[in-house]
Amino acid sequence: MKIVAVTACPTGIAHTYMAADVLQKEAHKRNVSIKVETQGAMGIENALTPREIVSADIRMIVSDIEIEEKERFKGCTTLHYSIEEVLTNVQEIMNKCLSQI
Amino acid sequence: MITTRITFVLEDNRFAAWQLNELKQLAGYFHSLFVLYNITRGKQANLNEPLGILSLGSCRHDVCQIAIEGLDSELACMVLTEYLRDHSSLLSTSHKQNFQAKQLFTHHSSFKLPFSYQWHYARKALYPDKNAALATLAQLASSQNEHAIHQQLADREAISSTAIPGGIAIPHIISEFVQQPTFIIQSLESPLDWNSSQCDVLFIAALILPKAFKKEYIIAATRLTRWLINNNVHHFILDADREETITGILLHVMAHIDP
Repeated sequence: MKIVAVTACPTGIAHTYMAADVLQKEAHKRNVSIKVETQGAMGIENALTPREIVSADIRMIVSDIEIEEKERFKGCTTLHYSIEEVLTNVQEIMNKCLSQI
Repeated sequence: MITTRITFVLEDNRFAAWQLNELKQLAGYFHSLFVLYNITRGKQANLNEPLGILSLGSCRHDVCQIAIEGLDSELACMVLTEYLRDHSSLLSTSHKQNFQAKQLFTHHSSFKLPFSYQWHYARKALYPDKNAALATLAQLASSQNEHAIHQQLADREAISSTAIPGGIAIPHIISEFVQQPTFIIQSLESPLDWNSSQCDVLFIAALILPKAFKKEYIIAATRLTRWLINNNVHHFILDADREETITGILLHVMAHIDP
């Protein structure tokens, strides 16, 4: 199973990276493969390719703003969450995601 | 229960076995519980278990803290403080203020950031509401541009609250109204509603970075925020009883700790 996610926040110096860390930790705890693209003040890091997005089992956008290059997700079922939802309750978010498969 | 804390920088490449035996012996004179935290490594062990402490993998210039909990912890703190003063660089102790800490922050590599910055600290700040707190943060950041910075902080909060789990708020902006990275650290006298679904805020770590930012600023800021998202570290700042403890730990995190 493979999860791909994009995290982004308005300033790009805090929540983008915190949300990415929280998702990665939770996925590793569950032995689930995950790749998280961060869109912060440093620009796009760990970028997801269209191929990775299409072939993923779960796609997540965790953001309080419109993300860059959103068109990559066009036609794919994508789950949207706010940064706060992920930071406060990542277990429940992950349960919801995994139950969609 | 009384808890006292001693925070220090390890100057040897590890805890030597003889040193651990001496610390164990000293701890044995008291009834309190002694826990050693290696803050740099994110690990902990009881002080009376030398093998446990050796397994922390401590290295030179790691920042460590000994927390002493028990009825005789104040006396134990005095004794261990004197020992650690001789065998490490003492950052802070509950026992008394460390006036040499400021020199450590400017000269010791454990705390030195690769850029100049503004640092403001206040203990037990009291605000009627979140907006008043943001106004004070803006005023501290730049008295000439306080209204503009206040608006920027409020605009950021309007998108989503910057409170994070554990009673901590991290208001942060990139602003053309500051020339240097500005860090404003405040513990609060009473819990403050930060317009979040989470518990009220007891600690504020505000980050205001200049518009003409460098990569080093972002690295330091993200190190701090990523460290703060870990529930296991909140007690280091929420329970700290001295300014130099909080300042030292936060500077060390920004200078060195990659999650």
